[in-house]
Amino acid sequence: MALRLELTHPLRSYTASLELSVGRGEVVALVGPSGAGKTTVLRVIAGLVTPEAGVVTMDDRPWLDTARGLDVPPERRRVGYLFQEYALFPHLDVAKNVAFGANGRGSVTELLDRFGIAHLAHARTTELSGGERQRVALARALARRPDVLLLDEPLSALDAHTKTTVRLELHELLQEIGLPTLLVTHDFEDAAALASRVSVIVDGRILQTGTATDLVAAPADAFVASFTGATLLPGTAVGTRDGLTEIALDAGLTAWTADAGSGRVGLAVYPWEISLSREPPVDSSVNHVKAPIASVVPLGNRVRVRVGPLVAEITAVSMERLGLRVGDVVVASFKATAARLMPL
Amino acid sequence: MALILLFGTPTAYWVATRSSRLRDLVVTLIELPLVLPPAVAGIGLLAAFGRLGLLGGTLDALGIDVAFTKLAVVFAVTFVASPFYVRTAVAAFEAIDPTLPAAARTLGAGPGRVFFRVALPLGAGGLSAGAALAFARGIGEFGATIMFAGSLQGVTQTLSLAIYEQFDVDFDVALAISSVLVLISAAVLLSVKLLTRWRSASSSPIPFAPTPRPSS
Repeated sequence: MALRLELTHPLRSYTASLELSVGRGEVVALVGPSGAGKTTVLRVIAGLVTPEAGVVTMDDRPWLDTARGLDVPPERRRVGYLFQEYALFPHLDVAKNVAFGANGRGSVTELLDRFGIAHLAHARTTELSGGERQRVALARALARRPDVLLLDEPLSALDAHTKTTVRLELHELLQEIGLPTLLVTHDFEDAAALASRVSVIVDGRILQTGTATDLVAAPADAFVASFTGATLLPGTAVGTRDGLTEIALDAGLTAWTADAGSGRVGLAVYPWEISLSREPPVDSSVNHVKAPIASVVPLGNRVRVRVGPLVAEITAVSMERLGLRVGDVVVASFKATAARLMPL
Repeated sequence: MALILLFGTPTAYWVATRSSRLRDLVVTLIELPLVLPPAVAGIGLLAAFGRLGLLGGTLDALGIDVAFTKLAVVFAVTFVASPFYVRTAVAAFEAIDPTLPAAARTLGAGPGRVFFRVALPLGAGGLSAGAALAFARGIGEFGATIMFAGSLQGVTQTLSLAIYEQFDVDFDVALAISSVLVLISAAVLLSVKLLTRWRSASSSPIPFAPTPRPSS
């Protein structure tokens, strides 16, 4: 156990109330929509915000305990904080930014070398690219020799092109330094790529915690399901047959799921579990939706295809092979086990 | 001038980083000299520090005489000119991106180091512009000075007071002193312009433009 946090803090339209811990060498992602209180959590840990009530402990050292009136100032908390826009000092060059964090301890040159930014040592921070800015900010945060790393939307300031590369670099770096790390992001994909454990936070409360795979396999509720990328189809459970539950969807279709349920429900289906064909396939899938293609959105080497109420994600290659175009009538099929039932 | 910088800068920083009710009170006190007629300021200073004033007795007992001395000139000019500096300085500190001092704190800098290493350098442009304005206002100070310090040649006579006196005696001398003041004022105004331009080039938030990394 390394970092532990408990807090209750009123925000604009709700009161944030949560508990979380980050183990030694563990990377935890706090993921949720904008305004869910993610940044507040980081600021409380760093000591930039004092919550109404809360406890922050790093190993055995208490950093905050409102009940005892203890509040260690940020400069004595040994936190490596990566700000959303990196917050590099514009009046200092790259080396001096890193030196600000080092404050006489350790070698700045060594850090610059390690992050591959030695050639930028005397560059102004305003002349750097997004990826370079991030590396300077990380080097600066690590120069402080932190006990814990806090990353606020580490990838949101980057364009799509740079993002994939930087995400990979960041993942390797986090593994290498092995510090307990808490990162916040609104992007589930980033969280899944970087973190070993993901907590979904909405309105200041944690809805579910688990590995990214856990969350996708068994989303706790409709929000987590749609947040992790599922299409949510509202409907009513009308009966069971052969161990499957029959759902009358509001869209006017009938679907079968392996989950049990009754009354008003939501059916969550992930786009990558839907296959497309011109004729109903002869396989284990029991759910077929026949409809014209409403839209096609390319996503790297994959394509998102909207068919009736469903969104299917298939490879660009299959799309080509099937010769599908907007307006073509296709059958979208998915298994009963791929349709997860959520209470609404 | 040094007095204004020495006390004005921390006050401005304090004001810029607080949002309490006390802040409003302090701001009002700072801005008061701006709206007071100079004559009123002079009377006020006399009432406070004059021999018969509120603090006059105490100061007299300590052997300090303020009114109609060089010290009085300093008091009057400081009183009238300081709002120009402090207001500009508050604006300069408030213009600093608040995540920068926050980042400095998380990097291990205490409030003092944040002030000297982050706030001061980032606000430097605005602070200099404020100082120049206050200097210009101070050099032309007339009303409060003549009431509180008098116009004793060689003791409390400022350039502005000298112009007024020479106006009755020798117009050419008044004109000459005026020309000097015109030159000084123009120089100050020009330096303010240059400083503001330098400031907006160095510390304004830079629009973030990510550039694709070369594939390597």
